[in-house]
Order: sequence, then structure tokens, then C-alpha cells
Amino acid sequence: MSSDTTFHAADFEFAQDLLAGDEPAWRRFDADYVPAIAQRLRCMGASEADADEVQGLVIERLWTRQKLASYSGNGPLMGFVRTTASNAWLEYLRKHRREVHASTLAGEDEEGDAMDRIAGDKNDAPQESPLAELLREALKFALERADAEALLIMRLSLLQDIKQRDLCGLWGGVHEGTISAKKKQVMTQIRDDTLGYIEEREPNLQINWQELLVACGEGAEAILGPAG
Amino acid sequence: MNDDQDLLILTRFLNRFDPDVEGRAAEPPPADVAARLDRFAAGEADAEERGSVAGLLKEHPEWVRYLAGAIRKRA
Repeated sequence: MSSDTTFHAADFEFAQDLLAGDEPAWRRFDADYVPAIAQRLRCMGASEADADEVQGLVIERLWTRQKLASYSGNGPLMGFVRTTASNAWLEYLRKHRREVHASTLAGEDEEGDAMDRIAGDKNDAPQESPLAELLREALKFALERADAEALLIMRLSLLQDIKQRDLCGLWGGVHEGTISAKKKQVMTQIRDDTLGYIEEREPNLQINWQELLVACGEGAEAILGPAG
Repeated sequence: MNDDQDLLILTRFLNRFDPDVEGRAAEPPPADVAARLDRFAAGEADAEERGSVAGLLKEHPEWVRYLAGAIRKRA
């Protein structure tokens, strides 16, 4: 996996061919991408029946709603498609949860019926990318819990290009191994807290760290739109 | 894949929501904060002060860039 923002020309051209209805491109999509969507959904906990339904929603979103037109080639197309699938699965889970909740309430002495409540939900401001919001909340939660010194070391080292030996000097002349260990420690903490938050909020989502990185990296365009 | 790469991916993602995550804000810190960051950059902070500064920058990542600049000037 790569976090680079290199333009993926071949994938971009492939997407344009798909949008243009090119038959060989469609056959390739059916052969390579549809199975990947199904695999992604099953890995995230979807049953065969759910995976079939959500797979249809993903493809409908990509074509009919022209989601694919927003792909700019800033990452592999596979990451874009897989992240679109992850987002669709989360939407599906939440919709299903609302329906169950509404049908439960329908048996109680509330005014109106279950369908009214579902319709009411639909009238709420739509959340176009629930996966993006969930990941953002989870990461912010993890960063808030991260050890402040280790986080500062990571930020200075990675984001500001401060040399490790300079960091050693700032931290009382510690060995470089100590700095490396702090970086490792904080990333482990961020990973565990992020995944823990998601598991608590969405126990049926079943997203692992590598897939989360895909969603935040090469697939981010699918849930956030093209980078500005 | 390594930790550096992971954090870069996550930071870029969060930066789409909040540009201050990477400490890219143009506004410099207040004078008293700048003085503390300068002492830190000079390697004059003891363990307690390092912890305090780290906590401050966790709350205000927009000042990390200033600190990095101060470190580079002395490197």
C-alpha cells in the first residue's frame, strides 16, 4: 500500500472507459473489481445475502449516481472502489439498525408508525460519508488519548522532518532507540484506540487497521471527494 | 508499511477536515508560549517542562511548526 499522491493514469483512463460504457472495460470490472467488492464486504462481516444486496448498492452508486466520476486518479481505483464498498456497508448497517429500532418502537404506544419514523430519518440532513465521519471521530479520540510527548516526537519527526538525533538532544540526550520506541508505542496506542472506538460504535463493521489505512489513504477520495 | 507511513496517511486524512492538525497555521504562538518553545528547542527543558510543552502542543498542534522552525535554526 502506498500513501503517495502520484497520479494513477492507467486507473483513471480505465474509470473513464467505464463511465463511457466501454464493454471490455466493463468485463474487466466484472472480473476484477466486483469480486473485490464482495470480498471486502464479507471481510467486514456481511453475510452472503447482505453482501449481494450491498454489492448492488455499491455498483448502483458508482454508475447510476456517478460516484465513479469523482475519481480523480489520486490513488489506485481499487482503493476507491473498496472504500466505497466499506462506506456503503456502514450505511447499510445503520439503516438496518434504524429499521429495527423503528419496528421495535412500533409495538409501543408511540404516535405514528414505524414507516413514519423511517421516513423521518430520511428527511434528516443526509450524511453522505458516514465512514469518513466515523474514522475522523475515531482518530480524534485516539489522538486525544495518545501520550503527549510521544505524539510530539512523531509530529516533529515525520511531519516536520526533524532529525532523530536532534530529538535525542531535546529529550535529555536519550538514545535513538528510545525515540524509536516512543514512536512505535504511540502508533500502537493510536491503532488500538482507533479500532477500539470503531468496534464500540459499530460492532458489526469489522474493519481492520490495513483497511482503515486504505480508507484514509488511497480510498479517501471515495468518502471525502477529491482533495482540494 | 511502517509507523511513519501510517501516521502520514492518518494526518493527511484528518487534515482534510482540520488544516491545523499538521501544525500549518500561519499565526505564531503568543510571546510567552514562543519563549517556552524556544527554550525547548535549545534543549533547555527538563523532563517536567518537556511534558508540559508536549501537553500544550497536543492542545495546540498549530504551534508545532513554530517549534520545528526553532529547532532547525539551532541544528
